[in-house]
Amino acid sequence: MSDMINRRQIAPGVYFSAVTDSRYKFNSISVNFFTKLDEQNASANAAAFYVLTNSNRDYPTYKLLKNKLLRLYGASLQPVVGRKYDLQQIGIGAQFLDDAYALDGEKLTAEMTDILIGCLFSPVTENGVFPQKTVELEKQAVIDEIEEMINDKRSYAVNKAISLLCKGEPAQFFPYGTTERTEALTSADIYDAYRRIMTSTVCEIMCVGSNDFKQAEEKLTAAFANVERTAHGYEIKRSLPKENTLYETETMSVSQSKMVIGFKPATDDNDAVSMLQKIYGGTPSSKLFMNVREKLSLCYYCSAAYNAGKGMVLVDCGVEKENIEKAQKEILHQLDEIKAGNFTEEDINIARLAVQNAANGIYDSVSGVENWYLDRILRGVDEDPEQFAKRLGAVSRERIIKAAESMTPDTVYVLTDGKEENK
Amino acid sequence: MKEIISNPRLKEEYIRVKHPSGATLILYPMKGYSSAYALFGTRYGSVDTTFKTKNDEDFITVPEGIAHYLEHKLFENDECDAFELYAKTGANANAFTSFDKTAYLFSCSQKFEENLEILLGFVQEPYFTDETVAKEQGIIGQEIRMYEDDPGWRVMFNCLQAMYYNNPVRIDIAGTVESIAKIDKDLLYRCYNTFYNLNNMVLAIAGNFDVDKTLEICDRMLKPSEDPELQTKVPDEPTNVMKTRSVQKLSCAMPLFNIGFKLPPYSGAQRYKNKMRYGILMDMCLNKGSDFFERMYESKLINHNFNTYVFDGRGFFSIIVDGESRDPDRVLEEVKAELCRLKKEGLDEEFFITVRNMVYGDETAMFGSVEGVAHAALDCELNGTGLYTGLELAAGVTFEDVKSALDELDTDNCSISIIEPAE
Repeated sequence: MSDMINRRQIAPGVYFSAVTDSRYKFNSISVNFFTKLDEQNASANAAAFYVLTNSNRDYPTYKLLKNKLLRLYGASLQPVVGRKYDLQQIGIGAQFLDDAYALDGEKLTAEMTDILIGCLFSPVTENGVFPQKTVELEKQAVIDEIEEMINDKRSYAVNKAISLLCKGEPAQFFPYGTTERTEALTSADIYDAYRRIMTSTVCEIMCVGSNDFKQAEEKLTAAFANVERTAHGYEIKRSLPKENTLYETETMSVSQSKMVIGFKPATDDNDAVSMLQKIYGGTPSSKLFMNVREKLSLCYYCSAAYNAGKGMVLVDCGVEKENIEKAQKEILHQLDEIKAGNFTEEDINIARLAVQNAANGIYDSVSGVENWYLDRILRGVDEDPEQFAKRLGAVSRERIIKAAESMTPDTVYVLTDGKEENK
Repeated sequence: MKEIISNPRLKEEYIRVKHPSGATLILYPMKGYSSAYALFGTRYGSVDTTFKTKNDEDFITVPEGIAHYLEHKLFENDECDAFELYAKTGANANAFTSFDKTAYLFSCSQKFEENLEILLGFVQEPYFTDETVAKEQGIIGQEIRMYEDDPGWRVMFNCLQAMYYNNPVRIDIAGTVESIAKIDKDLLYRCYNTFYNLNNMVLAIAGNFDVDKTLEICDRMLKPSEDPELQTKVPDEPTNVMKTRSVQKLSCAMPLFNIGFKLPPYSGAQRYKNKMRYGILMDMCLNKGSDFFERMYESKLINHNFNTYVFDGRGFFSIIVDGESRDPDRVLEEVKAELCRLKKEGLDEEFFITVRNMVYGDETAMFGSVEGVAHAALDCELNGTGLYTGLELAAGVTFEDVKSALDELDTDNCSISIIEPAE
C-alpha cells in the first residue's frame, strides 16, 4: 500500500500520502486527525473544526473566505467530522479544480494549500481564544448536525443500532457529541480542543488528483515543523458480543417502520464475512433482496453491510409496522439458508464479480481513492483494491458457511409508530 | 448519421449518432478510466400522463405513477430478471424515474459489451403478467411510505403543489398508494408501446469502452421503430402560484422550508440559458458568499443547510430556495426584501465574476466523472442540446444576462412550503 500512496511521516505523528493521476479534473487535499471517540471531548473537537473552516487570518470573515473560494472556481473547504469505528475523525477537506482548467491561469493548488494551512495554523483569535461571535454560530451548526439526525430515518436507525451494538465502547458515541455538551462549550474549551488536537493527535494528510502535490507537501511539512507535537496512537477494537440478544424499540411519528438487526460474527476470517455479506444482502441477487423484497414484497430496501473494523454485520430495512415480525423471521431464515449451505457456486461467483467490479472502479473517483486508503491505514491493513478483490476471490464455500454459522443476532432495533393501528 | 463534437477548452470530443433504428447514441470515451457507465433513457417521466400517437384518435390520460411502475417491471422477463443477468458480469445496475425521463443504467469495469447487450435486451423486451404486476404493488407501496417520512422530499413536493395548479409535476413521481392500485398490465403495455419507441430514446455511454464494438452491438440489437408521432400534453397552467403557503407536520428537528418562485417554462437552448441566468442570479443574491447569507446566518435565521437552485424540466421552470429555519416566514420576508433591494440598487459586477467562476468550475469538474458525463449526456440529448452547452454558457454568460433576469423576476409570484416538527 505504501507504494501506491507513498505514505511518509512529515512530522511526529503526521503522515502525508498522495495519489497523482491525470484522469482527474480536480484535486482533493484532506487533513484528518484521529482520536478516541469520547463523550467528554467529541463536541469540542467537532466545534473546533467548524470554527477553523469559518475564516482565517487572511480571510477573517466567513463571507471573505467564501468569496475567495467561489472565485477559485467554486473550491470547497469544509469541516470533516465522522465516526470511524472507535475513533472520531476530525479535520478539514478541500476540493478544487486543477490548475490546467483555470480561465486566467490561476495557481489553484498553491492558493488552496495556503488557505487550508491558514485555517489550520492561523485561525482568527481574540484574547488568545476563538472569537465569541464565531464560536456561537459554529456551536449552533454542530447542534443542528446532532438534531438533524432524525430527518433521515434510515440513517438515524442505523446510527442508533450502532450505538446499541457498541454500548460501553467508544464507538457508541455520536461524532458530534451531544446538544447539551455543545451548548455548554466556551471559546476557551474549543480553543483548548484545537490545541490538543494539533499537538497530540495522529494526523493523516491525503492528497488525490492530477497535481503532483510536491508543493503541498513542502508547505504542510514547513507548517507542522512549527508545532511541538507528541502524537499518541489510537486503537480500534472489535465489538464484544452480548450474552443475550438486545431488543429495543423506539417510537416516533413515522409512516414506515425501520428495523436494524446487528450481528457480531465470532470469527477472525474477515474475508469470509465480506463474501457472506455480499451473498446475504450485498447485491440485487442476494438472499435478502431476492426473498424479503422480490418474493415476499415486504420491503423496498433490505440489505446487509459489513463494518470490518468493529466486526459487525448490519441488516437494515424499511417495513410496514404489521410486517416487522414477518420480515425479521425471513431475514433470519435467509441466514439459516446460508448456514445450511443452501447457496450455489454461482452465488459465490456473483459475489466475487461484484467485489472485483467495485475494486476496479475505485481509482475512477478521487473520493473512492481517499476513502479506500484512509480506511486501510486506520485498520492497519496493507492492501490495494486489486489485492483485496483477489483475496476475497479465494474464499471457499466452507469458509462462508463457517462465517454464517458464527453469526447470531446481537441487537435488534426497531423504530416504529407508537399508534396501536398503523395506517 | 455520425458527428464528432469537440471542445477546445477541455481538449475532448464525443460522438453523436442518429441511429437508423430511431435512437440517438451519445458516446463519450474517456482515456485512463477503468469503468464505463451506460444509460438507456426515454423521454418519459411522471409528468407524461396525457398523450396520443398517430394511432390514437384523441389524447388519453392515465393514472399517476405509471412511468415509475414501468421502470420497476421492465427489469423482469419471463425467465429471469435483469439483475440476475448483470450479476453474472459483476456490473452495478439500477434505474430511475424523474419528472420527465426514465433511465436504465449500469456501471462496470469488466465485460462491457456483455452488459450493453443485457441493457439493450431487457429494455426492449417487456414482459408483464397480472401476477408480476400485482407483486410490485407491495414494494412500490413501501417506497412511497419511505418518502412520506422524508421531510426533505415532502417539503419540496408541498412547494410544487402550492405553486402548480394542474401541471403533473405537483404529483409524487411514484404516484400514490391509491393511483398505483389502478395500474394493470394493459396500461403498462400501452404506455410502454407509446414511450419506449426508439425515436423517443437515447443511449449515453461514458468512460472505458470501445466505440466500434458498441456501434456493432447497437446495429445488431436496436430494433428499428416507426416514428409514432408521439405528442404529450401538459394541462394549461396559470402563470401565478396556486397558493402562497403550505404547512405539514413531520418528525424532524427544526422547521424545513422551500420557497418557490414560479416562472414560465422554457425548452431546448433557451431552457439552459435561463437556467444559467437564474442560477447565477440566485447565487449572487442569496447563496453562501452573499451579503444576504452572511446577515441571515449571523442572526441564526438560517444555517449551513441553505441552498438555491433552478428546478426545471419539460413544461416547468421555477427557482427554489431550500433551507432550515426556526422562523421560515421571516426568511421569506427577508428573501423578498433582499431581491427588491437588489432590483433597486443593482447587482455587483465584481461578485458576478466570482459566482460565474464557481459555476464554470462545477461544469468543468463534471467532465472528470464517468458517471457525471453519462448523466449529462443523456439529459442534454433528451432536452435537445449539446453536452458542452453548460460549460460554454458558463464561460460566456454576461453580467447583463443576469441583471435582466433580476429585472424579469416577479418576486411576489412565490409559495412557501414549511415542514414543522411533529409534536
